[in-house]
Amino acid sequence: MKLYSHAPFVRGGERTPRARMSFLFAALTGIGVLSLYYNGPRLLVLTAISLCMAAAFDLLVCLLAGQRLRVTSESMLQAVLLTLFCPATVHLLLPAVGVAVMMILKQLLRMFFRQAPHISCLCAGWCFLAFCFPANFFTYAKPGVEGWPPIAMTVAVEKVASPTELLRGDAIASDFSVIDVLLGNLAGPMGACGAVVLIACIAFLCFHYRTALRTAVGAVLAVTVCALLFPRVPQELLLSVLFEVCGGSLLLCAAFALQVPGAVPLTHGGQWMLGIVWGLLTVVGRRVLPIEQAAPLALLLLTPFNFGFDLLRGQLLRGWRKFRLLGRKSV
Amino acid sequence: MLFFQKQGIVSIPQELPRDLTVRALPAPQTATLPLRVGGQARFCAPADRQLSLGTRLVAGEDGFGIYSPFDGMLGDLSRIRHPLLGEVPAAAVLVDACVQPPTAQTVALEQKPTEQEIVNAARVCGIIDETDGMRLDEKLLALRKKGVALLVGDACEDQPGCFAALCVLRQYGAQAELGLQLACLATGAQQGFFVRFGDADERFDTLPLQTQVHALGCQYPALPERRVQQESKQPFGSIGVQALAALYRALAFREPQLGLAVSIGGEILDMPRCYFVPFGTALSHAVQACGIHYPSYTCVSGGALRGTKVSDAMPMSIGVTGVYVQENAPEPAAKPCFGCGACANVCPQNLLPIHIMKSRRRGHKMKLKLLHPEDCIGCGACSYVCPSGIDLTRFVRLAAQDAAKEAVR
Ligand code: SF4
Ligand code: SF4
Repeated sequence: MKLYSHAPFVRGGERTPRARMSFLFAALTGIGVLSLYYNGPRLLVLTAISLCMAAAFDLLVCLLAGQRLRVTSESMLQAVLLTLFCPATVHLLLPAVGVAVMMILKQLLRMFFRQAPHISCLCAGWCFLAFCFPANFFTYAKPGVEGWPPIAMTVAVEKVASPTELLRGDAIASDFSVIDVLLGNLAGPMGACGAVVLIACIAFLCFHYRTALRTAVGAVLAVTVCALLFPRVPQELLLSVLFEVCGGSLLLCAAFALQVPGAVPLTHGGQWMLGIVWGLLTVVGRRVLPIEQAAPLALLLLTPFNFGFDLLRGQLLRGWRKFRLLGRKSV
Repeated sequence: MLFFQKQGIVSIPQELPRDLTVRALPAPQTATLPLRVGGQARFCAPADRQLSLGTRLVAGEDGFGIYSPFDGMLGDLSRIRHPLLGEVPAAAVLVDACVQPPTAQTVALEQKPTEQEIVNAARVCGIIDETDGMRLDEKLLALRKKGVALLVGDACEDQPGCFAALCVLRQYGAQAELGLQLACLATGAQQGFFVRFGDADERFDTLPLQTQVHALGCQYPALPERRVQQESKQPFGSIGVQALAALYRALAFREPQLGLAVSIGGEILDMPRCYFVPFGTALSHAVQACGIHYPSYTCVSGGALRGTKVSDAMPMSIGVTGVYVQENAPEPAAKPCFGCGACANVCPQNLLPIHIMKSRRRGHKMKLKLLHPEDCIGCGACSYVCPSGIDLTRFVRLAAQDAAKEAVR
């Protein structure tokens, strides 16, 4: 067999990792500004603490390994995202604790398996906070800066149900209108505000690179179809579908968590498969588990199967090609 | 009629130079003529070592011939390490004059040749199919044995900077068409047509040919064989256009194959051009003829996506129809993969190049089996699109080599 030496000698103008990261941070700024409008300066303080924690870990690892000191953009991205998954009323140090868990896990995985998928670490950090501090992590209040001093460790607020929690009742009686859900004036994680802005972020990112669009669309489609076929509040079908799709961090994950390197399978076919399975698992999680924010958990469970989705797609295509060429001879 | 669907993944519009003539190359001062026959052969140069155009140098035991493309004096015989052919015997020649591009005229054959006559002509004139380096006489016999119904004249060079087949189709289209008819006769194929890379282009669409020329579009890799296979239910074979034109000349004018049309392309050349290069001419001679002012440059034989880096001292031989010349800049270091998936989505074989690379590096044999690296066709599309600059093609080919070795064991 002929072995090709250094091909190719010309390169396509694909976006470099750095360019992709810069687009991602630009999109994050968009949602950050909206969240700042609703949640006030506490968001900035929480984000700053998380970023400091991530940077400190990166530097510590470099020091211990005797490498040049540097802070990776992936760690920064993960820290910001984990903070955006928290409500604005969260304990001031809680996101930083989640970041610490995430960074420790990353190093352990690197040590034992030589690889640490960023998305798994992020979802694991989320799960740690969700399962160890559920009271604080899932206490949502109506957005508003009043009574949320930016640097107070804890904030006492009146708990308000998030849109997906409202679906547990027989009828949807809430303080939120459809406009509130779309524009972000609702209870929930800091980053999950404003479905319109999140969709705009997805569109912006897809315009620049198309990696995760299929997964996002697949998941939203799966959730929508399930919500239409098996509505939780049949009397208010459309509101029920809207809450199902726009609530529970699904869009936040679709917009940002999927953009974390390694979050989705490599191939387009695999990405569709992941999206659909992720959507279905999210629906199942919401209805079976008492957790409304099932999207990150479902993503964590599915990430190890990304390679499997790619492989399955490859095998299906191989089979299809063989089937098409059946009986056709070449020389 | 066949209809070719749009296929291929990377869009590579072929920027063809204005001048699509197959030009004559000035005679080099010296040459090193590779003498590979593929079987038992006898060296039969004249005793006085004086060469003229078409002097027979080697006679295979089955009649296959290699002829001198030069007027001049025969020098020493030696064995050389050719970057593409491996170790081959070669003859040094002190050149006075070299062969000119063949005439494009066509004449009616006196009588319709038989299959055997066609195969014999291909053998005696030493014609090689430039697309796969196979002897044309052997290929015709193999195609006949397999019972092909369809014969494809392959003018499909989908590599950036390669355009020799298109030049040949334009200049020697009539000869290639007659050659295709002869090849159909020799193989028993009932139908023949040409395929070429690129979109509609009046320079090729208005050629006065009766045979259809299918344009396969600008999506790389063009994979003409696979597409014919998908569109046609009949068994088929393909032969390069240069070999077809040479086959016609062999029967019409008894003209042996003394060189090939070679495109020399690349952005650093003043005039990318197609030259008729006599076998044995050093590559540097053709590159200099295109005008190049760089003290050091890199030559890639076979095109910018699938090619092999070669020294410019390489004597030209069968199978080299396109050379891509680029600046001799150091290759930028590859960055770590960040999982964008471009390589997997671009692969025409639906492989997962980055997983193949990682599995090979980590020695995961079971996983490698599932990934089928042996299906790789070496198109280079994965390396072309990788934003991290990882040479995935190389790793996939290495994994395929490992798999082949494992299978033999
Ligand atoms: S793996 Fe092989 S077939 Fe697939 S794109 Fe790379 S070189 Fe081409
Ligand atoms: S194209 Fe390059 S960076 Fe992207 S997944 Fe493949 S190897 Fe990794």
